[in-house]
Amino acid sequence: MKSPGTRVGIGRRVSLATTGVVLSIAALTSCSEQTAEGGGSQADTVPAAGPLATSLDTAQGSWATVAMGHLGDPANTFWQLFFDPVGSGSWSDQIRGTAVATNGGVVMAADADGALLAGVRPFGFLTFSPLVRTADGGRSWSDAVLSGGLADQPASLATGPGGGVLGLVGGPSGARIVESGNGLGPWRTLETVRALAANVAARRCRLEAATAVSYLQASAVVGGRCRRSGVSPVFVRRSSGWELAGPQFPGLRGGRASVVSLRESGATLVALLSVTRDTGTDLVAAWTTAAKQWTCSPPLRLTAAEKLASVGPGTGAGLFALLDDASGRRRLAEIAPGAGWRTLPSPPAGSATVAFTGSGIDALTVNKTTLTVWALDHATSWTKAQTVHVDIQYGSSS
Amino acid sequence: MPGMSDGQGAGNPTVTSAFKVALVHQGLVVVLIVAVVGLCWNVLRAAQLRRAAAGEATEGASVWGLLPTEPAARRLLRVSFGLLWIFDGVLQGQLSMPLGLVPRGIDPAASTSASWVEHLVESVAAVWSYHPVSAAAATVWIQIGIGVWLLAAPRGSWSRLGGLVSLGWGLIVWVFGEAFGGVFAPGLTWLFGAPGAALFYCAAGVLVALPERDWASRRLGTRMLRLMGLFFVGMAVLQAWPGRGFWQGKAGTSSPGTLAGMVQQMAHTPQPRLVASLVAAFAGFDDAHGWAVNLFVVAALGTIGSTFLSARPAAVRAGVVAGVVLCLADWIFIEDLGFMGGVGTDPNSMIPMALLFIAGYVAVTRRPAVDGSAVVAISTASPPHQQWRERWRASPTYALRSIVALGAVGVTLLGAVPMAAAATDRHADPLLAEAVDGTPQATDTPAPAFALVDQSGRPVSLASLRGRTIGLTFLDPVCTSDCPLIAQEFREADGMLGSDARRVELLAIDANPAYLQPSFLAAFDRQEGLDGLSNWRYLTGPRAELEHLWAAYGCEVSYEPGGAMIDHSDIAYVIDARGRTRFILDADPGAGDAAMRSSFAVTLTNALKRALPSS
Repeated sequence: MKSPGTRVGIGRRVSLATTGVVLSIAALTSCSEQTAEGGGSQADTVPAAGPLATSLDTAQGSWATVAMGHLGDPANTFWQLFFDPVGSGSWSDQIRGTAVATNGGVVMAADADGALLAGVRPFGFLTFSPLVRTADGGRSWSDAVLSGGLADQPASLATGPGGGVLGLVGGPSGARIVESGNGLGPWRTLETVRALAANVAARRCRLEAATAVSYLQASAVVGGRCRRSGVSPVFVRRSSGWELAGPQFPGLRGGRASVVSLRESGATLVALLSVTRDTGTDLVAAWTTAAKQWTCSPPLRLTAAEKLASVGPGTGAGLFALLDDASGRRRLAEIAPGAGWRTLPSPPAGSATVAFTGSGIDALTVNKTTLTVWALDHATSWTKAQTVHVDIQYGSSS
Repeated sequence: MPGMSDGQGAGNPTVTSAFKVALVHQGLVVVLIVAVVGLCWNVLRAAQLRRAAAGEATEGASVWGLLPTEPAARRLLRVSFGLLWIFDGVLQGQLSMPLGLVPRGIDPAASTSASWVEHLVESVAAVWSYHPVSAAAATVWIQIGIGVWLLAAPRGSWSRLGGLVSLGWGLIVWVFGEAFGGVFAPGLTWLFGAPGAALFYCAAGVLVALPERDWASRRLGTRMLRLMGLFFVGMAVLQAWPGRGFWQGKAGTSSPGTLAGMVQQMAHTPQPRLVASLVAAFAGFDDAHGWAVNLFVVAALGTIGSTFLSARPAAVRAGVVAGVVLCLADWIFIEDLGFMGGVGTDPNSMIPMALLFIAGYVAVTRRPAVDGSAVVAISTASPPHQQWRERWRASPTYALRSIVALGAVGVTLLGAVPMAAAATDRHADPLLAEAVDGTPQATDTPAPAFALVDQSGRPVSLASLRGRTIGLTFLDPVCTSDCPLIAQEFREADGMLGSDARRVELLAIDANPAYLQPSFLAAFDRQEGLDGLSNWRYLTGPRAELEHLWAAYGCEVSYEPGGAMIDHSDIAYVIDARGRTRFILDADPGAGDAAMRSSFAVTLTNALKRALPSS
């Protein structure tokens, strides 16, 4: 058995031998270095990936998914799907359209037509994910079966131009990326995560797991988590195979990167990465149009107690990160391409997610069967805007 | 689906009623055995009296007199453990035993042990779970039989064989019923009966099975005491070991110490108020004085063990008295008398443990009145079979006891035979399914016609299946709980049908109004391993057609709010080859465990077989 010292030694030799290559790649894919901000942190607060609670904005309105019920008991935790039509300012629960127990969680993606595609994660004896799609704000639904269970990641489902759909399915040992070329099936396995990890590009980062999928101009993109520090695990599928696309940025040095979310906004790929090192965890947002040149944000430093409560799209190609300090208090930060992190007024304690709707920013808090919507007034304070009661059928999934 | 596990509580009336019936039926056999024993005794007694009148049996009852008296220590063990086995047998007759013993007795003991123990125990607990009534009734008679056997046969091979049977059954109880008495679990402590009551029954069985000559000297008693001494000292060390939580009460901490926590739990088991208050009082005392309580226990165990190891009569006597007091105190204040709560199977370890060291003490201090040479003289006076015959003919008591012992063997077999049969039957008793769902409702009405497509898109109609016997149910392809269980029950039934499966079609009709595409049915089949079953068809069709069929077959389907799955009736039909409904089964999979699944599969299989054409 090798000692840790031996392994470090090998790692250093490998690093030295590949320095030239890495520097070349870095020159191609690097972002300009930004200064860090925030307080101290510790490694074990790192989010492996984003939590499922999130929101997205479509041409027809905003969608949000949050967990309700008895959140400590998986059999009595039911994920809901709320919709706020454009111009309505009123959220309503549309989960009935899924017609399946949602204890495992709901993953959302929006297609170019503004339709919502939602996948229900496996729970209990159910091992595959039903997919439902609505193009009219939940009035009518179509459905399809996904050949596997969606992974427990907010970006495990993605839509692309031309009706393509990507899914990250299966468990840690048998995870794979599946794709439906046009519409919702038939599905083909694009790559198993094991095969991806064995790929020459992925071996440079020692890919541990896939955590997100997206499209970038019709090319499949996979985000993951690296065992090796200093490498960003974003892979783009080219005609020649999978390519490690970066981003590289100086703040990545010495840290282990994990892709928290991936999303295509227009022709831009938006990625959120967490970078973990002994001194703490940073969140870094990055944008690219061709997976060659990236624009990277300055790091958002998490405090020792903070963990990611929700992540989702902000304004335009921006994104938000909602942080939970373990006492219920929340910190909300938003970032836009080329800008720095902007801290917004702290949403009400216990906020599950926020939604950047066409008319403003809403924070959604949950208390068992009650959803409370808080609107951000004049970017200064949160005002209670709506209360939605959901009839939870406790015991129905036991 | 709501309702799972409903109806299968330990007090389920169907099961308890079946248990009572089984006990009564087997009790009648026991009465018959007693009658035969009485008859045999009468016949033999008459023969003895005739011989006495004819002057043949001049020595008569004196044959017993020529034998040395049974050693007092052996008699103590034989009689006391005989009574304990009978008491345990009576406890096994509690009505909550069939369904309560595994979840409330065996599983908790096994789940805290090492994983290999858990697996080992689970494999045998499954026999009980699959056949709760047979197993529970069998245990009653096995234990009563062993007890009577020990009491009735005081001497010779019969008696020693009784000891061996006691050892064998005790081992079964210790390993599978007590999960090795918690030896492989954390928190092992003398105070809660480690290393398990049944192990003391085993020890007593071994001692009774020893040749009588081993009881002729003090050596056996001394060894018994030394072993008990070592045991007590070992338990004292274990009790004193730091980091196991026995030195703390609750003072200064947010949670109770190990002992206080255990006693608090014990105080909550169903029991008479007086006992509960005693236990609760001790829990409170230990909360406040945990360190002192443990110090006392460690010192007491160590001291008692040391006196046993010394083997000096005066010290041993004091140790025995102290041991008895400590055991009784533990039995009352900590072990809660052991047999309360509805599924108590014995009075726990303190009484049998005390009996063992008392027997050791008696073996040291009260040796047999007739020495070993007399035993040798009698045993060599004539060949063994002649001795046996002479004793039998000459002594009324010997004859009676032998006959009663034979009857006890019969009672033991009355339990052992059904237990063995249950152990070899891999299919569960259909009673379990009936306990939750009731018995299948027999009928003879035309089945509603249907014309749908299966998981591959092929058309299937009731008319097209004419000539085949059909098992039909309604399943939601994206159900997370009951439907996969029901599907597995159908799959298991297919295996039970054997060659008859060729004449049977197993059908399910889609019961989710949202997911109607065959691709969902195929995904469900793959998930449940049904895609390889040639006679399995999962049917779907236009929503209107399905709604018509749900109504026609009495399957209520409704959307539920808040992210719950579709609610629908769990129901199954058996349709004969003429297209007539013959049986309606409530298909609620109840607890959803392997026993329940197998039980429903047996019920479904039986109904399908009854509906098959007689050809």
